[in-house]
Amino acid sequence: MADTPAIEITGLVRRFGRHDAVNGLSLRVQSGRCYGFFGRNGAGKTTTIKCLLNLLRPTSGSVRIFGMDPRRDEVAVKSRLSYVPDNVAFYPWMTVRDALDYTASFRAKWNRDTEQALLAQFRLDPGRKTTHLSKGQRTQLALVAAICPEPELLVLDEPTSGLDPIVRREFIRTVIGAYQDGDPGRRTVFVSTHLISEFEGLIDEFTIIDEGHERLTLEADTARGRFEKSLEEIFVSTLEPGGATA
Amino acid sequence: MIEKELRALLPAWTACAVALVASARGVYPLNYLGVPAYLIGMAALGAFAMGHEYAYGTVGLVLALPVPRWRIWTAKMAVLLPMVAALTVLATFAVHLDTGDRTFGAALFLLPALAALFIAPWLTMVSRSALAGTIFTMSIVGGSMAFGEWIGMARHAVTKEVDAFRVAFLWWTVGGLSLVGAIAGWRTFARLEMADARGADVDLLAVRPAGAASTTVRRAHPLVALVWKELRLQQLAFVVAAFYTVSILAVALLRAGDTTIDIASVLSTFYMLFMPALTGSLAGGEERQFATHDSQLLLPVKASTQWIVKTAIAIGLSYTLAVLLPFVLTRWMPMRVWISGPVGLFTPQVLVATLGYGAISLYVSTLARSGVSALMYSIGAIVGVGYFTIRIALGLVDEAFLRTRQLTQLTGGHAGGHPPPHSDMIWALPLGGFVLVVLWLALTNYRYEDRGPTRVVLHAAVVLALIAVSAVTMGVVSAL
Repeated sequence: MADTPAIEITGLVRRFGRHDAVNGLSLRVQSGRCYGFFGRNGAGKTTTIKCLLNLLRPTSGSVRIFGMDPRRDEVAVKSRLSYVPDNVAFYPWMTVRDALDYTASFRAKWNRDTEQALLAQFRLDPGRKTTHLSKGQRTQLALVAAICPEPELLVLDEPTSGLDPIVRREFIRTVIGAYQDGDPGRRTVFVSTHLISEFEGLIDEFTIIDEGHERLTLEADTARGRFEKSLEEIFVSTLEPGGATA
Repeated sequence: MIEKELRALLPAWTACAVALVASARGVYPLNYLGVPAYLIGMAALGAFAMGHEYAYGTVGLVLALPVPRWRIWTAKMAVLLPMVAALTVLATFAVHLDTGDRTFGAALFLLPALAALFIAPWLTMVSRSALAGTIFTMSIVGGSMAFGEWIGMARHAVTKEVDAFRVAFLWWTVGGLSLVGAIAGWRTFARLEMADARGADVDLLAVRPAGAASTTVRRAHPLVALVWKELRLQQLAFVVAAFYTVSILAVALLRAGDTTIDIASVLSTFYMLFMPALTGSLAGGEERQFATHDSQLLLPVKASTQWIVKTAIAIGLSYTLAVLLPFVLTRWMPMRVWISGPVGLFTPQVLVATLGYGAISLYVSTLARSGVSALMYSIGAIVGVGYFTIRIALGLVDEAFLRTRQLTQLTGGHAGGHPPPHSDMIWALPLGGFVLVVLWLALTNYRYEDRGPTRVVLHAAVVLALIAVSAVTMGVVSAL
């Protein structure tokens, strides 16, 4: 089972009424990799992630996480991943401490040292109510709650939106990097974003989608070598009319 | 702007209108739902005029519009006023009142309308929650009735003057507060700030002050954490129960030996009908409004387990607060004050109705985007399902009974049997099946983020077909 992919999506279609949000998408993410999922707003990134996490039912196609069906093997799948949505929310009566305690109650593992380090790094006051946190601070808190259980798969949907540039850099280089370095080869990051330059150095492989279709899937190094451009430039040129997808 | 307000309020208005029309057909016990539906619908409609901005996270957008705030406020009121007026007119035709006191009837119809226009939007802005605005508005009206009775009794003892005093007290308190609300509501809106976070500013069950957090992780058993979270979601149900208890105690302390239909009966009937709908609505609707639904589903606990905990807490609280609390109050009260209206306590009908109401509102809450919209649609759905069951399904029972008996006679068989009773525990089995099916359908809504209209129509068809098939089966079995 060593080569079981962390994520495997085959022919995914998700339709809302007559609109195909995702149309025949396939991708495969090997364990231990940092996988970029790039696309414009409305390209179908969030819908794909929600199908992946069993928050939406695919119209057709299949999704597998660690070789398991997220619908049938619900708890086994959810125990091995953490998700940070694009719009983070907490129960309004909770403090930062309460939110972390609540999340920790459902997890087999909880790294207290990581929690303390991240709270200090993000300057989050444990006694502060979550309703009094800014959007960026709520995202930071969600990241702490996602990383402390040390999941094998970290799914991030536009994680840097709302973060200031300093925190964004810290988050990407220190937090994501340190998370993967904690258990190299086993911890996988699946990150959906359109701020590609921010993740340039971390991404091992990526898929660009547009209007629910896969436009380009490549190893990051191969792409740079082939196009002699940064990932962001490749993204832009791919999505331009008559873009370079060859 | 007018169109946006109209579209936001129309579903809630329609739900209330459906409930009023269905209750107007004079079918027992739906005819008793008219007044509660009107009072709840009015308060919720008024609260939703501002509350939909909180529910949909559009407060910032509306405040940032390049128009003066007075125009936004005027647009809201311009839409709310005719809707409230239309419901009031509808209610005067639809709602049957036992009392011959016309002044009380006028107060009962007009004061909720004033409260909906002026008190509910103001309290919604203060609490930043449409549901809290609804409940506080209803509590003001209900509390005024109870305390009017209490003070009236203290001043006039058991005389007819109490009724006149009660009506005058209602006008002074609710009317006066409406006037305050009209001014304060506008002032609050003119100074309204955009709060970044969604959800209410109401935190009534805080066990420790913010800022007093420890630095170490305190992990609870997952089920304990879920139960505690569900109880926190239900905090407004506890508030309503507290208001009810205080009101009943206040009235009872001065009403020795009197068993006539009085204000306590009205409050209790209303409360017992309202509480199951409220607990069901809070269970699902509030999580959607807080936008915590997705993250909750991704906790490593089965969605079905989470749903069972949610359902158990909501229905358990329904029974505890809507049936057990009134029972305890009557048992331990020094004076006899109790319901002599449509229902008694701990009768099969009450227990069954509480379960049915709770199940329907739990289902509706899995479709709603906020607690208050869940509450409003629940009232409409409860009355709608009740109307279908009583007017159509029970008609089918009789029809099936007669047809089967005629057929048996024609074929020379023994044509016996008794017509099936319409209000007996014989209905426990189909009702149990109905509740289980509704809760199972609700789980399919709860489990996923999307709530497409096709699925909802399919669910409605399944539920209505189940009721109809159960009814026909009952008729046939009774005839044989």
